[in-house]
Amino acid sequence: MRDLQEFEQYVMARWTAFHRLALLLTASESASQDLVQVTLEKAYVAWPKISTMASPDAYVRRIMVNALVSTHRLARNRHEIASADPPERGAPSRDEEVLDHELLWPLVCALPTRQRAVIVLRYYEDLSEREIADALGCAVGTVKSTAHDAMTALRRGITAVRVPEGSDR
Amino acid sequence: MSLDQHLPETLRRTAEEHSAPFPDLPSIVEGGRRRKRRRDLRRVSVVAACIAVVAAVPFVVRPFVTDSTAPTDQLDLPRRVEDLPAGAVPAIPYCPGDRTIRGAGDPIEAACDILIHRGSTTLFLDRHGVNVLKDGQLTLLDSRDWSSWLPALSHDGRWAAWVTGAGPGKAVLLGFDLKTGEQVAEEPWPTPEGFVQGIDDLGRVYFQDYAREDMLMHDLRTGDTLDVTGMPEHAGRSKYVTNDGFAVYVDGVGVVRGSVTADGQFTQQHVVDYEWGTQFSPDRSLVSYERDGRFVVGAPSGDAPVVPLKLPTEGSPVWFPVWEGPETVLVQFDPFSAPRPLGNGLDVPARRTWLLRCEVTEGSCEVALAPGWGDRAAWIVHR
Repeated sequence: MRDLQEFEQYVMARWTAFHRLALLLTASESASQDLVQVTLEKAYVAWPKISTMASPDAYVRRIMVNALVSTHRLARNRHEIASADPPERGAPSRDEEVLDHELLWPLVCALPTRQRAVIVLRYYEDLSEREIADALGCAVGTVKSTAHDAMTALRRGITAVRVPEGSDR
Repeated sequence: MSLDQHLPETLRRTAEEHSAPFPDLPSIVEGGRRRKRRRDLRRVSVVAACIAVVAAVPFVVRPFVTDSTAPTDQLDLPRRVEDLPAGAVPAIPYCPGDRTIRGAGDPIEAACDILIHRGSTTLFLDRHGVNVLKDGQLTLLDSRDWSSWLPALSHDGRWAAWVTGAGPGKAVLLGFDLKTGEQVAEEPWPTPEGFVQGIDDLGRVYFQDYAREDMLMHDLRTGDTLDVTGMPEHAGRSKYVTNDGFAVYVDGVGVVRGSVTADGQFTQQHVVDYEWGTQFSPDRSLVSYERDGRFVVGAPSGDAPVVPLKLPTEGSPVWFPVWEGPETVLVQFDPFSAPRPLGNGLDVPARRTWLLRCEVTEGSCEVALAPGWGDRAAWIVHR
């Protein structure tokens, strides 16, 4: 009973943070709710272990990222295309600052799941490459190469909207 | 502003613009209970399948389901690393802090870098490449960068392998028989996206492919490469390599260990209780691993009670224990880091860390090297 109370208190305390992280990882409001639900159900199962940890958030985050990647893999194995909610907004007008967040977020949404996860963990959760590797269950070198690919894709996207269709450049 | 500077702000604003719905706690708890029931049922079914296999084959495979670790609060743990007695310097190659490496014959002039020790072999990784330390000499095995994770050694130190090369069509698997000193593999490899999880006693290299989420096996003796098949449903990433196969995490079940047949079948599956940082002793009679935030040593079968290593309560290991010999492990320990789950390595200046030796029958520890040994290395030295 005490475990259950502690678990519920932990969920209430961290609910907003987990929901926000899930939203960034999935790039989808509906998918984020599913991801949080699955993550916390799994955290409930492992709670006797998690509750003794110095950093339970790191473990729950790892559950969330693993759930995200496995869901993506299952969808791919079924030959389905995992789709995020469409970005709320397209490219900005020429007069707008190219790198405002309303442009950048759709580009982040368009990244493959694993690349987006690395970007979110690095720039939102402020994790080190080592911590990201642990959350993703991969090597640090893989995190480096995935981050490199993601940043390359984002820069390519930014360049594309900086050179609108029909431009001579 | 650069992209690096824009991203944190963009992600923060996006996250904060969305309000979280009110949590449905009863639904989460009920979902968790359903998962727990399913997990328990799967464990029972895997154990039952294992027992059936045991009955059918002439050797014993027993599930490792003991829970015999002494509770931490009943252990007589030292508080500070300074409380530990002084012991001998490491019996395996080490950095004494004077830009040499000792313990491999005559001192070798080299700045401290990464040392990977298994069995009777030590690899030394520095900016020049992958070297083997022997008879007072550094012998360069290959100067190319390893692609995404460190080179692997078999438990007895005979075999070494890693993947080099980045980009499609450029990856190559390198393999060495360190008993003869011969390079035995330079195979074009499907992908650099992954890493060599380890090498079993039969010289079979296991490569975790991240792109396909599959395991590839390359036999250094025959030169054959196979996909490992017959993995459990919902199998995730591999966790470590054993004497004749590997262990893999299975969602809802836990860690499942299995043998791999010559044709690549993952067989003799059974649930085990060890996962994080599992390292086998040189003769594979013992295994060290992390349980509930503490390193323990036990028998791979799980038959005997496990022995917790009595590391100081103030500070944290920076990496998993490295077997120094049949009855002792070395632990690189940082007194300035808070104790934490040991899944993460800590990248702290090696110079400020201690190298501790723990014997594995009682778990008691002593100092092998006091701070100052790590030269300028700002990373984990003993892997």
